[in-house]
Amino acid sequence: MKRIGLKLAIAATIATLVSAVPAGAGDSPAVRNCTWCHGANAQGYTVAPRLAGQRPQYTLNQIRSFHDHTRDNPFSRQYMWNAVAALNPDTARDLANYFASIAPKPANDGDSALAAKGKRIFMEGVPEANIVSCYACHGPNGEGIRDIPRLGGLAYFYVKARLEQWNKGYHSTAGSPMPLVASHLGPDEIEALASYLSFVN
Amino acid sequence: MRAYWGNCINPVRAGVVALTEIFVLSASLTIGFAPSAQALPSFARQTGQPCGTCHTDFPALTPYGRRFKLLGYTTGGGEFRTNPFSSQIARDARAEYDKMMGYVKSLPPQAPSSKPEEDKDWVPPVSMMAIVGYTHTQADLGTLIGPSDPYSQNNNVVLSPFSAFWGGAITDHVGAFAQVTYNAIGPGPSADPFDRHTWTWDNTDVRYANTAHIGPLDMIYGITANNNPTVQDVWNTTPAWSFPYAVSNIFGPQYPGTVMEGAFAAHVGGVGAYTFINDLLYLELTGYKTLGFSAQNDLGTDPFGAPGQLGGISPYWRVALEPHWGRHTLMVGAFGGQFDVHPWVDSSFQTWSTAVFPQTDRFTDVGFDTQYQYQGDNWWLTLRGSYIREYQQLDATFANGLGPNGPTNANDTLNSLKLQGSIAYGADNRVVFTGQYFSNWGTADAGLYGTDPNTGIALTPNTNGWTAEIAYIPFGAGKMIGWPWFNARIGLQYTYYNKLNGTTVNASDNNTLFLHAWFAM
Repeated sequence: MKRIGLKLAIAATIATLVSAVPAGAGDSPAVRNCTWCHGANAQGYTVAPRLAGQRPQYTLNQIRSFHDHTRDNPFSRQYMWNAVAALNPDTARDLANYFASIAPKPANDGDSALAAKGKRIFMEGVPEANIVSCYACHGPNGEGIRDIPRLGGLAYFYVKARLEQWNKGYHSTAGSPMPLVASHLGPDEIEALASYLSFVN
Repeated sequence: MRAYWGNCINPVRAGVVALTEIFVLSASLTIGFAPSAQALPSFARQTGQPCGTCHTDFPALTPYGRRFKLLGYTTGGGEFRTNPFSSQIARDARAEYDKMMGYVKSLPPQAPSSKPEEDKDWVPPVSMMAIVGYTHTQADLGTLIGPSDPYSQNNNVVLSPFSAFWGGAITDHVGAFAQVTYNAIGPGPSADPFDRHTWTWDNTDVRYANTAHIGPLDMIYGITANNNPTVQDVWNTTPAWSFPYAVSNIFGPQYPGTVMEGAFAAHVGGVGAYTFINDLLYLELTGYKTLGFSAQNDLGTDPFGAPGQLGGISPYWRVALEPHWGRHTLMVGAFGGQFDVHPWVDSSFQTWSTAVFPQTDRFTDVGFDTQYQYQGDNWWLTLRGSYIREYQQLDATFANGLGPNGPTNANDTLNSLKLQGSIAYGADNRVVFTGQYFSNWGTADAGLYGTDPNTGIALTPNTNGWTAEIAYIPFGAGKMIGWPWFNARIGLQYTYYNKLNGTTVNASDNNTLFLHAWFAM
């Protein structure tokens, strides 16, 4: 009897898991190729940024710059150059649109004590240090527009690394104003901005 | 490669050998079944990613390697198709593509590699690996195991094991890691006629995997069919994929290990369900059943290499919590299983019997494991710990007086602890330093472990020591020679035994230096 009970328990677990979702549900292979690293439902995973809710034009631009090897920070070189090398342009466009349609969740992983300072820099900039407000281009909640990326809720690590990289001579898309804009940010400002943005919904 | 067991197990009366084998698992796991160093070029072909995306070392996994496995080895992205079958999604995409041909013609020509999935070539995800190893032991093999034929007394170079793999997708949702291995025969004679297989099925894990989004839950879920408890696990803290990843194919001292540590590797088949929720919580339940004597033999496995046949279905469970933030991942988990084992009546086959006793010995294993991993720009730090406690209820052994050295206790415990640190430095030309402390300890039992010849006191299974390894991997992050078809790993490994089978006397005679070169293609 005990054995039968165990068999039933295992069968029931499998049945529950399999029947929990309708047949045919689940992400397409192309989507899974992305969420493999970018996390369940593309909400970001370890060093891979959240794609959910990102502006499709921005995502597509980045795919293009990975493909052309213009975006050249270490993890882009290591992972993304290979990941998009064989990516069909139509598929890339579909993926960018698909990820834009997923509701983004904030990472909430920054230092909450720095959030207020970060918000002030984001909204007002630091005129005496020649730091412009981020709000001007990225919007009041860092939601982005067209090819200007959504920043609100991105992981602390990712925003911090990106802001630091502008000052280290890495490149991104051609014509981006960010190398100039970010050149005035010091480590404290970067910490504060990355912390604040991780909590923005 | 269990042949040298014949030297270690005296030809005692029927039924005794089987029990002994229960308690000499650790060495047999690493030597007999799982020379488990593999990062497959076929995975690289399928994904377009270099080995270093999924591996800090081979076969130790990065966070992405773990997710690749959980997704059923099916994710692609490389220049080749993942599988030969047309999916509906791909057909739809192709139809849309064809409709848009007029528009496409007005666009700049695409790079040749940017074909739609349907137009990519398919290459079967087959890989091969070979390890050539040099083994030096502190004392000669003659001292350690007796006759060493067909090998020298020391300083042997052997090309073994050699493995072939299916590693990759079969359909969009089904993938497999399946290995067949050639092991050179072991040194010395063997009493067990089923012990001389050279080809055997090895680590096998076939999966169905999918994703689902239900309310706030984003899940990977799937079904695994595999042949070794923990071979399906994605953290290198559980036995099947734990360090050391490659061991000497000539010699490894034998000492008692828990059943979870490979006692039934390749002797069982298991089917289970798993899920990974919100990239945080992993849950799994799998049931294992013994394969028949002939089936095992046909697959190249020595049935007598296991301590007996499992009664009914043995459950295996696994829970792990893995929070992640930025460059950090931390895993805290637990796992376990319960194995009811009918010991062999005559594992030396002297009476031509493959029967087992009607009574069972029950082994209940509970393990706790943890891992911390940090990703630098071109380096990885990994810290791992695992502890397995086994409760042995030796009813069959006790009732039938089966102990190799006489009557045993009715109940024993056995513990296995591993603490490990590893640094993988460099992207290409990666160098990996790994150090591990291992310790097994348990109840003193004269029937199982014998008695001290001087004091007459029952011996313990207590064994401990250190392993240190330095490995060189030429292609970690960049394109390997002949990308994506080839990789290599060269390792120098030293294992020091402070205590072996309850005594420090002569334990260090077993210290082993193992220099090996591993090739995968």
